[in-house]
Amino acid sequence: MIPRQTDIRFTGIVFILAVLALLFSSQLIVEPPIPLTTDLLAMSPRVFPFLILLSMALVALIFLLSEARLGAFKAISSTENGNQVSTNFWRQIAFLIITIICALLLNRLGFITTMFLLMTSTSVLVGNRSLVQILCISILVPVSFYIVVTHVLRTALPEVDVVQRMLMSVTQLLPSF
Amino acid sequence: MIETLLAGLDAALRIDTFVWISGGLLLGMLMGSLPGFTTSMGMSVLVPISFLVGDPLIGIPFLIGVYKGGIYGGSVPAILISMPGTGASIATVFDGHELTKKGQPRKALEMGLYASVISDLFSDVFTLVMIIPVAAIVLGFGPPEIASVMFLSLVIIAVTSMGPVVKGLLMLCLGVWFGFVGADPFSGMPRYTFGTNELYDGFHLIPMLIGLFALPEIFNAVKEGDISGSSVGRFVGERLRFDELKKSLRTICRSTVIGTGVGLVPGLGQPIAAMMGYIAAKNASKHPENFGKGELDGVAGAEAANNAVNGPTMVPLLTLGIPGDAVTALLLGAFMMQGLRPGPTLLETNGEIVFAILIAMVIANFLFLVLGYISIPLFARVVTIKRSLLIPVTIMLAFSGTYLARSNPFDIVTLIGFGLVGIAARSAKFDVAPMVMGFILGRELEYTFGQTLALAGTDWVRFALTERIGMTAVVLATPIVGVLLGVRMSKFRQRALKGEEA
Repeated sequence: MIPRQTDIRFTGIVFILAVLALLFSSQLIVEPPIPLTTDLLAMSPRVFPFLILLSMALVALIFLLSEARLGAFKAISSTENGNQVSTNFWRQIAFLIITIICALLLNRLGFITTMFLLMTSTSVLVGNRSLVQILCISILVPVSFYIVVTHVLRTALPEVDVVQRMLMSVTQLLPSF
Repeated sequence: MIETLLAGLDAALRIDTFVWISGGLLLGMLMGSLPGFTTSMGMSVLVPISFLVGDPLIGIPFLIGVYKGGIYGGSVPAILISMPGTGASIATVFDGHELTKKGQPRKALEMGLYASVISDLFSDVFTLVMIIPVAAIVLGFGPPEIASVMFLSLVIIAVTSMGPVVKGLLMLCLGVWFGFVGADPFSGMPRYTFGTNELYDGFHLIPMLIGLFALPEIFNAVKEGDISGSSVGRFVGERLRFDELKKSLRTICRSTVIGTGVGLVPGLGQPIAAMMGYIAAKNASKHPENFGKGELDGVAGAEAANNAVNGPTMVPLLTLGIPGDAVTALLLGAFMMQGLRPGPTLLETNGEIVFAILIAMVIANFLFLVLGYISIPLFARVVTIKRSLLIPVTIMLAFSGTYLARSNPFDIVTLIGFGLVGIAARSAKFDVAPMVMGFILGRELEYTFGQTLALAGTDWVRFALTERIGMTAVVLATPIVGVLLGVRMSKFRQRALKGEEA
């Protein structure tokens, strides 16, 4: 997708968001239940957001109108190779889905397992085809990082009991810091 | 103040501080040397590590080391494979890579190192000297003056961002709006929280920064696939002679002054300084026709200017809490995580730590020279490392860094959310730096503006024209500065584009 079309879409989304936030500001911003004096509350909680949203909508509108005057809304044929765009697009979508899934699973599966899944899939998506390299990086790096953070820096990372017990046998062998 | 400075000197002279600065410098040079890895991305994943070490005199100098090393490291791939490691090194490509083609990459890299160290040292000393009078002036500022200076800074940031002014303004507004999520600073009433407790405290800065800077880079790497410059980058050729360095000293001094000036203005940053330094060197040269064909002065001009920005950006950050660019926004996050709140009172409350950090910055330049000199051959090889080995490690650092900052699982959701915003903005060619500045300064601006209204009472005209003339002057000057700077910036961008094409 070429930037010209993408920036119009991005601005369009921002414009719609700003207009919606302006329209529903009474529901999205709660006013204080009791009236406060001007010493305590010189400005309503809605004033500044209103000014910013109005500016945002105006700036977005100016951009969209100037692009429309230049004829940018007309379809512009993509210069990239169709198959290449499609492969890259699906790779990126797959990366996003995996990232979101891993973010949601971090607390349930624990740090090491989630990072193993995330790093393995990212390695494959970036183009690494060496199984040894992928496994080495995806196992050794999260395990070492986990040990350094929990044992040396004494900070907790989310981890399931089974893995924690397994790693405890390793950390017990290390000198305490 | 002198006692505080001396106490800061005493606090700065610690072995562990220098060990961590050295580590930061090496990591920064590593990150900068890798094509596709930017300093902001590297710093964003390392900010939580700086917090975990606990002591601000270790954590902050470590990040400053990453910052300095990263800006110089970006010149390595720029010179060797014509691929700027960071935005700051774009101007270094013009002559640096031509020198590589002539078989003199070593000369170019050494010139880049010396120019960087000299300019960085000068600008850090300037920062150390400047911070005391600036802090004394700022100490007299009340909410009206702070609000007006923040307003001016936001306008400057928007008009000097990469790309058209409208885009910069839009991203700035978006950032300010994201800052509104959470409790209202005066009444404590929730805004845009959709009834959730997680959003009541608002978005945390660290996951936002990691999401905006690191995730889009990784997303882009997934699109581009595995790349490395293995076949082109080689570190060979003659060393830089002393007389060659001496000949370029004038250029280095000029670019240092340019970079120092640029660093003091929020929003401009290294890429603009480097381009200005390069153009100034070309204009002042007796042989401008040699520029773009492998002229050592071209490398010196660009590298001295981009590194001279590092120190002065700390002046508005430490005295007013205004970050000059994305990297100083990350430093602001690091300061806040360490319990230090940059602003007018920072020097009063934590003067010793501030001076210790600034002195550590000055001393770091000597380490930078030694480490840079020793490690140039090593980082010349780093260019050849496959990206597919580093991207998975980076994403792990992004996730774990986000979690470690507050041990709050919701921050991971924030990371992904802002990652998606960053990806969308990047693909639409919108600069996210104004958004970050808007997020940081917007809330503060609202708070100080509210305080100003409370101070002014009902007769705000009398208040503005008699009691707070400084505030009124800054507010009235803001549109003029904005328009003038906008016009100059668009001319400058055109010149820079022509330079790039040439």
